[in-house]
Amino acid sequence: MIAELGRFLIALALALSAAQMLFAWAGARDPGGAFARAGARAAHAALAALVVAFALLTVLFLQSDFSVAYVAANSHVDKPLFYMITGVWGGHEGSMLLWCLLLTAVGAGLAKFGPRGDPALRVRAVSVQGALQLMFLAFLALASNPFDRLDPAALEGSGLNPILQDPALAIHPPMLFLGYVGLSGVYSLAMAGLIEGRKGQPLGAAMRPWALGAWTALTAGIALGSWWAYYELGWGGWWFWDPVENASFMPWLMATALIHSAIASDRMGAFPGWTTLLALLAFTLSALGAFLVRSGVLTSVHAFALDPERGLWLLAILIVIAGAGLALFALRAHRLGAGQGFSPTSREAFIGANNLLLAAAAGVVFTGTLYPLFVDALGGRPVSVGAPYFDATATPILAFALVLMPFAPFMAWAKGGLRKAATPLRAAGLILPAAIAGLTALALGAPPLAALGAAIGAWAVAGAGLDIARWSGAVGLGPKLALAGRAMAHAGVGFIALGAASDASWPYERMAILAPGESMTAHGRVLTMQRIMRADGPNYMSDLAEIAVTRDGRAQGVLRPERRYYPAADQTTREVAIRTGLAGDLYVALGEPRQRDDGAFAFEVRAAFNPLIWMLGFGAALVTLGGLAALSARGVERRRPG
Amino acid sequence: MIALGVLAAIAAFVAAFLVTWPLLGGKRRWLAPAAAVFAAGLAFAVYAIGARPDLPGLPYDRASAQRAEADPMALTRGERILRLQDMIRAGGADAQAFNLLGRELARAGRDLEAVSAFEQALHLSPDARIYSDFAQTLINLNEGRVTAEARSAFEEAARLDPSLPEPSFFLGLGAYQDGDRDEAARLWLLTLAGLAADDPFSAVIAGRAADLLSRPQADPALVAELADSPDMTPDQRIALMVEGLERRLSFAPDDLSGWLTLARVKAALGDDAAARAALGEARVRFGAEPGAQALLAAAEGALLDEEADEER
Repeated sequence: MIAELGRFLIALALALSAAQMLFAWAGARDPGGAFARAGARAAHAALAALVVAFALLTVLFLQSDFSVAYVAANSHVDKPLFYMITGVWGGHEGSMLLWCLLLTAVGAGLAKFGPRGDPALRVRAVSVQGALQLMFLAFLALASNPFDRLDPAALEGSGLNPILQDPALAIHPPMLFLGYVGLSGVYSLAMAGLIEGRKGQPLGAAMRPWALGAWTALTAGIALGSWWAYYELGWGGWWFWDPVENASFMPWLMATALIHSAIASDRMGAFPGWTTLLALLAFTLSALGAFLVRSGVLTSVHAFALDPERGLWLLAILIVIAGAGLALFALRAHRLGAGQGFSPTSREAFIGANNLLLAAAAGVVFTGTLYPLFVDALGGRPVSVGAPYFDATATPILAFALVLMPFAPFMAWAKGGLRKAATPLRAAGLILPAAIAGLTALALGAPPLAALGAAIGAWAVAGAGLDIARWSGAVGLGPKLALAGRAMAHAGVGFIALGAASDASWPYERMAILAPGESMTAHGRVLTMQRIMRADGPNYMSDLAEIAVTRDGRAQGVLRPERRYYPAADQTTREVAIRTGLAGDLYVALGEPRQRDDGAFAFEVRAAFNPLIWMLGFGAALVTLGGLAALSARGVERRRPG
Repeated sequence: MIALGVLAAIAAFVAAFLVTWPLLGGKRRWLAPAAAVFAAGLAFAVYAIGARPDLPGLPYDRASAQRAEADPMALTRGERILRLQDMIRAGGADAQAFNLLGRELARAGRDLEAVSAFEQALHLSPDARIYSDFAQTLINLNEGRVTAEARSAFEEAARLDPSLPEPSFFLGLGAYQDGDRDEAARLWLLTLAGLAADDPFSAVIAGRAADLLSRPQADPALVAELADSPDMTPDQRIALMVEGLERRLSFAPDDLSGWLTLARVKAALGDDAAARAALGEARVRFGAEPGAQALLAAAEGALLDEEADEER
C-alpha cells in the first residue's frame, strides 16, 4: 500500500502543479487576489505531496520491499543503513523524484520568498515554475516512476552500485541537483520578467540570491564529485572532461557568469539582456545535463539510464525549456532596457569581459561535449572528444579569465579609472607572488605551461589577499560578509588553479606486484607489504593490505588500501589509501591478485604521488564557503532595518 | 485496497480543497469545487496509469518469514539460499547452516560467496567434510586448478577423516596437474581401495582417473626426434609415438599410466586386439593392488564404449 500511496502522491503533485501554473498565471494580474493565493497554496501543497512521497520511498528502501522495481534494482537487505537511505536517490527514478521534489521546493520558495517588492513578478514566476514542475512530474509519473511494481516480487535486491556506496557520493547528487534545480528559480524569474516587461535592474536584483544559492550548491556538488573520483575510482584523477562532468560544468560556468552579471545589473542596471539570457541558458544547460545523463546518448561512467523512451521525453522537455526561453527572449528582450553605459576601466567592463570569457569557455565545452553526438546524427564515424581538446580550448580561456579576475574588485562602478584604483601598487602585489610561483615551478622542473598556470593561480590568490586587506573599510556585518565571500571565492579559484598546475607538472606513478614481506620504492619512500587479510563488510568481501611506509628509515605510518567485491552487484571496487601531507598525497591502490609460479599470491600495488593536490580541495571548499558567506551577507542585508 | 482508496481520496480532496479555498470568497466561487474536482480527477487519472493496487507490498521481513515457514524442498535454490542467509542474519546459525549455504551457493555458481560461507563454517567447526567442500569450491574458482590453498584444505580434511574419498582424489588430481602421474595413480588407487565396490562414487572416480591416466603424454625425446623429421606424415608420426611408448614400457613395465595410454592409443588406431592386450598386461601387473580392479574396469568400459561407437 505504501508504494501505491507514493505513486498516487506523485500524481497528486502533478495535478497540484497544473493548478499552481494556472492559478498563478491568472493571479499575476492581481497579485494579492484569490488566484494568486490559490497558486501559492498549490505550490506548497505540491511540495508537501512530494515530501511525503519521498519519505514513503525511503520507508520502502528501509523495509527492503522488493515488490517495488526501483527498490529491487538499487537496494539490498545487507546494505548498511546509510546507503540504504542514500540508495533512494542512487538510481534514475529516485534521483528524478529528488529532482522533482527540489523543483517543487523552488516553486514553494518562490511563492514564499520571491521578490517582495514586485508581487506580480513573484506570482508570474510561481506560474512558470509550475509549468516546469508539470513537465518533469509528467516524465516522473509516466516514464520514470520509482513506485512501479514487480509481479512477482524480486527475491533479493541488486544493491546500489558499489562505487556509489561512499559518503561523498551520497551527498554529491543532492547538492548537484540543488544547484541544477536552483537555477530553475532563476529561469522562472527571467521568464516572468520578460512576460511582465520588467527592466533589467529589478530583474537582476530578484535573480541574485537564487543564482548565488544555486551556484554555491552546484560548486559544492561538483567539488564532492571530483573528490570522490579522486579517491574512489583508483587512478588518482579528479577531472576527466567526461561528458557528464561537462554537463555539470557548463551550467556552473553560466551560473558563475550570471552571479557576476546580476551584480552589475542590480547595482548599475548594466547588462540587462545579457543577465536575462544567462539565466535562461543556465537552467537550459542544466536540463541538457539531465538529458545527457539519463538518455544514454553519450557514453559516460556517470550515465545511469540507457532508455531511448526516456531520452525522447527529456529531449522534448529540453526543447520546450530552451525554445520557450529563447523565443520569449527574442520577442521581449527589448523591454529590459539598454542598460547604463560604462567606461572600459570600470568594474562593469571587467565583469563583462569575464562574462564573455566564461560564456566562451562554456561554448567550447558545449561543442566538445556534443560534437560526437552531431557527428553520429549526421551518420559520420563515431568520434570521441577527450582531454586534449578541452585542455587546448577551455583551459586557456579560463586562465585568461583568472588573469582579469583580481582587477574587478578594485575598479569603481561606471567610470572606473586605473589611477583611482591605485593599480600600479596592487599590480606589483599581484605580480610578485605570481612570478615567485611561476619561477619556482620552472626551477622544480615543471613544464612551461604548468608553470604559467601556477603563476596565474598565485596571481589570483594574491588578488584575493589584496581584496580582503580592505576589511576595515567595509562597514557593517553585511558588507564584511560580502567582502569575505568574494575574497574567499576568488582565492579558492586561485588555489584550484595552483593545485591543477602542480598536479599536471610532476606526475609520479609506480607499480609493483607485492607479496607479504616485499617492498617497493615510491617517491623517496619505501612501501612494505606487511600482510593481506580479509576484511569483509556487511555486503562485500574485501582483501585489505597493510603497507608500512618509511622514509630514510623512519616510519611514516601504515596505509590500508582495499579491494572489495560486492556479490549482489558482481562488481569489484578499490578503496585507495591516501597519506596526505603539505607537499602532496601519497596515493596507494590495491589491484588484482596474481598467482606466482610457486602458487603464492601477490597483489598489484599502484603508488602515486600527487603534489599539492590538497589545494584543489581547499580551493573548492573556499569557493563554496565564499558562496555561503555572500548568501549570508544578503540575508543580513534583508534583515537590516530600513 | 479499500484503505488505500480512502487515504488517496482524502489526500486528494483535502489538498484540492485547501488550494481552492481562496477562490470561494471571489465572484467566481463555482471555480473552487470545479477546480478541486478537476485536480483530484487528474491525480486519479495519472495514478491509474500503471497502478497495481491489487499487489500487496512485500517488505523483506515478511518475505523472509514466508520462506522460513515453507518446506525447504518446495523452495527454489535462490529461495533456499536466502532462507539460509536469513537464518544467519538472525544470528541463529551454526556451522551446518554456513556449510549448507556454501554448498547451495557453490551449486548456484556463486563460488566466491560459497568460499566465504565455508570459511565461516570452518571458523565455527573445523570439519573434514566442510574442508573438502571448501577446497572443491576453491578448485572451481580457479578453473579446475588444485591450488596450494585447496591442497592444504584437502590435507586437513584427510587428516580429520581419512575415510573421506574426495581429499585423496583431488590431491591425486593436484599431483596429476603437476605432472606426477605415478603419485596421482597411487592416490587414486588409494581412494578407490577405500570405497566399497557398489559405492556410486567408485565408478565416477575410477572413470575419471582412467580417463586422465590414459591421456597421451608428450615424451621430450620423441618430440625432439619428430622435430628433426619434418617430412614425416601424420600417420608416421603417430606410429613413431606409439612405438616409443611400447619401447618405454618394455624397459619400465611398472607404469600403470603407460599401459592405459597404450590401450587408449591402440583403440584409437583401430587395433582393438592390441588395446585389449595392453589392458590385460596392466591387469596382470597391477590387478592385485587395492583399488586397481575398479580403475581397470573403468578403462575397459571406456574401451568397449569406443568399440561400440566405431561399430555404429
